[in-house]
Amino acid sequence: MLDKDQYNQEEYNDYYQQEIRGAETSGEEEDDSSKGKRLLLILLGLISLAVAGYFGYKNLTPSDENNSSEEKMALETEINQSKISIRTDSLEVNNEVNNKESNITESQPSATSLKEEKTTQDKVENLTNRVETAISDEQKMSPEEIAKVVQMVMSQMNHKEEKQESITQTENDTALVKDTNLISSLSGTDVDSVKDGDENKKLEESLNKIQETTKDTDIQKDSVDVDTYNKVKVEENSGEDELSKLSSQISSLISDKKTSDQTNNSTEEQTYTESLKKEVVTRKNEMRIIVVRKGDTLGRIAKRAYGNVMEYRKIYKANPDILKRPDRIYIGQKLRIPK
Amino acid sequence: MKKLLILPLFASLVWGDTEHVTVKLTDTLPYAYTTDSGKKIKIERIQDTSNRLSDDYSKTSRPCPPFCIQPTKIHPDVKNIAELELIQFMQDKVAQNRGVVIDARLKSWFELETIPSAINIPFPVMQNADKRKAELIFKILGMKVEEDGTWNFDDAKELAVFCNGVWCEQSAHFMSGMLKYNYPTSKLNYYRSGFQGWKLLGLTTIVHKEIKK
Repeated sequence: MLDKDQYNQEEYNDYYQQEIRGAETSGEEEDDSSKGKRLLLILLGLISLAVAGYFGYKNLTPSDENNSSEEKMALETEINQSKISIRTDSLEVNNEVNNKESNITESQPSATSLKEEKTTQDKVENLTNRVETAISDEQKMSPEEIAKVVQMVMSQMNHKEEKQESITQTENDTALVKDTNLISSLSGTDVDSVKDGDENKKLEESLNKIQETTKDTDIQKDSVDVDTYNKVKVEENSGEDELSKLSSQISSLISDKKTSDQTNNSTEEQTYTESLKKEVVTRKNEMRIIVVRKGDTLGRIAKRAYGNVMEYRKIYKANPDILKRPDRIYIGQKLRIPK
Repeated sequence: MKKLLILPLFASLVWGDTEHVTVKLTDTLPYAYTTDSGKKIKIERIQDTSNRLSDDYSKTSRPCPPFCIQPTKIHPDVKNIAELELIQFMQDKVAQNRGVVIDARLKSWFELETIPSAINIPFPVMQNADKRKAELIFKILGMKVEEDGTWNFDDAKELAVFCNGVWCEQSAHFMSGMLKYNYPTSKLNYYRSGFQGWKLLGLTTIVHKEIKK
């Protein structure tokens, strides 16, 4: 009994398992077939729709064309008319723009010219609208026409920019004039500008004369010692000319009386002169000059001048035009030694 | 081969004659000439455009008093002049012995550095001069004493007076001495910018006594 039950149970299990397998395999087959069918249906539907659409469109359009032949004719005439008007308008606008350009170069912008410009601008806008409609209606415009229209619009735009620039320029000028007037009125003096006064003219003329005489003179290359700071070393009263004689006369007069750096007046004057003397000593210290000798280095000169070799940087900085490198100095060079 | 050697020499001579002046006196005048101690001096500006005043005459502050900013005019009738007028003065008046540029500073300052063609009459000399000394100085400057003893300034030289600059009162002291003995105001010019103004423009200066160490 038990065996039989066991057998039955096993048989049942086998059967059950077969059932499950069978169900699984049959289920998969069914699904694949249904999917394929569905896809085929969809494709068929799409194709039929496309075919129907195509034939429908084909059948419908000739009837419309036939029906609206009159409308088409009217549209064509309208387009032709608009084309003609575009041409005439473009010519007019071109002429107007040209006239306007010539007017601008000759005169300042006026209210009438601005009005005219506005009307032309409107015309151009209308024209562009018409062109747009023409393009959208017919989709046909000759390249020449398009080029003309583009040229016209561009010229109008450029013209407008020029106008704006000239207007802003005039505005700036007037603002500047206003500012200078304001400044002059506030300060109560004339504007700081070059006057064409007689004195200035005279000075200019005489300076030009100087230039001419300088050109004409045969320049003698005197053996004057000019350094890089435009200092010329000259022995005082060494010449034979009248100015040198005058200078030596004055010098001898002063030295005879021994009053050159002296004052016998008030204490105030004495202190002033003393302060001047102190100042000149400071200046002498400020502008010491050392002539480079054999065996000198900037360090050695610094040691002599300041007692410190490292102070050579000070000398190097004070002579930028003479010293390009701190380790390159030459015999005979005159170096400024700052305080 | 000779041509190769001569050509650069010739070119250098031509180049030297027509040297390019970057820093001119005015747009039409590159430089001018005057004389000092019998030598021809070229008045030009320092050509190094990166040059700056350093040490001498770059000082901004000295105690005031006495180094105070000077008024524009020394005297209502004394003409103020600037650099270009001074150069013109050198060309017109000094060159023809009708004018003299006066450095009114102390001799020590004058010797250190001065403006070309200037002669030195230190301000205390003129400021403290009595009539006799003034007469001597004026005579050197071209004044004539008439038979009746009056001073005739007709041929007296025109003067352009300067000192250290706008902070310097030495010119004013000098002028006071000149005006005290009636030197004509029409023959007096005041270069107020003075030596500092001259230096600021990098113009040629004269050194009579070089400082060496």
